[in-house]
Amino acid sequence: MKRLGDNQDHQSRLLTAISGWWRQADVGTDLNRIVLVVLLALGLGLMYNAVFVWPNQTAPPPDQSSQNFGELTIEQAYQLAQGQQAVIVDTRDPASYAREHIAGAVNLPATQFDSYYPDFANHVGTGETIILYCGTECGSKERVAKQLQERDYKDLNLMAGGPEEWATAGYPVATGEDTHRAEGERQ
Amino acid sequence: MPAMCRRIGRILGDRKVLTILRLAVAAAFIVASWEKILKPDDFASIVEGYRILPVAVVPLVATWLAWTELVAGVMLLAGVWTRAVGLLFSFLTFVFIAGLVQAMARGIDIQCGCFSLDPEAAARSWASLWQEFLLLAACLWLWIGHWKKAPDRRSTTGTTP
Repeated sequence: MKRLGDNQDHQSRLLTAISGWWRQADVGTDLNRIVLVVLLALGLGLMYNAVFVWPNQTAPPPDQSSQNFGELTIEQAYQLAQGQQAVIVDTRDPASYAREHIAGAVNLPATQFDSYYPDFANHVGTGETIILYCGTECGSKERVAKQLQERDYKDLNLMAGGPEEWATAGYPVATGEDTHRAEGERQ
Repeated sequence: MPAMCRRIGRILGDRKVLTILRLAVAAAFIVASWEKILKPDDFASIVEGYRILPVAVVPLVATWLAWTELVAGVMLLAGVWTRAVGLLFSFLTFVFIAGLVQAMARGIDIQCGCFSLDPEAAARSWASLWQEFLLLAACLWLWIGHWKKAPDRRSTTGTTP
């Protein structure tokens, strides 16, 4: 009983110390001010974007809209890659690519597009069929597709899913860095 | 030991040191926010690279982060609500560190996006995390330094820090 009482005493002293510190440090006031700063920042940011950023983001012409990208299932992508020798492009970061990627896929990371593109352009012509993937819950394949579209690549297809789904479907995957790029760097 | 604690407390609460620290932290966050505000899409790409948030909310969070850095940085520069801004920046820096750590633990090759949106910037490594921890320490120092002064200031001038 005495030990239980001691524990309760310790807890009560701890709570008193915390509430005393909270009052002394005036944390409640700080939190209120932080909420105001955060709301002010969000409001200013949205207004700035509405006035200066979003109006300048011109929509692509109708014949080049992202709706014109082909949408492929994994099976369709596999058939297309087999039949027409389409180029499969992995738009994830190099580390994710190195861990696992679709066998034969070329790495063109959205976050390092400008760095990787010249090497990509040396290997892939604008008339070739391209299949882009990044996985589920990601948007990098769309961004890379738009960048390629601006550089006159025409036959662009977005594949749903990534290497995991590809492997689950029984198709081959590989590991290691992009050999095309490694070759380019050696030249 | 108590003497050492008092000495550390004096250094932490020294007005000149706190002023220099306040201006340095303010400048760091204002500079960091500039490119993010001018290139919101590039910053959104980096935020998405952390793979924490749903893609749909990334642009909103990226906008909020960039502008919070600017607005709070300007407030810090002007000395307005310094203590609250110190706490806010401590929280933001902690979130950046947590995001970086989880990304590196998952093997994601990631650019921090903290001070530069350059895609060619070197990916972050465990060794380079000291910069974020240094910033976190500075922000916490700002908050705690002004927290220690709060009771005195209330009793003497009645103004808020």
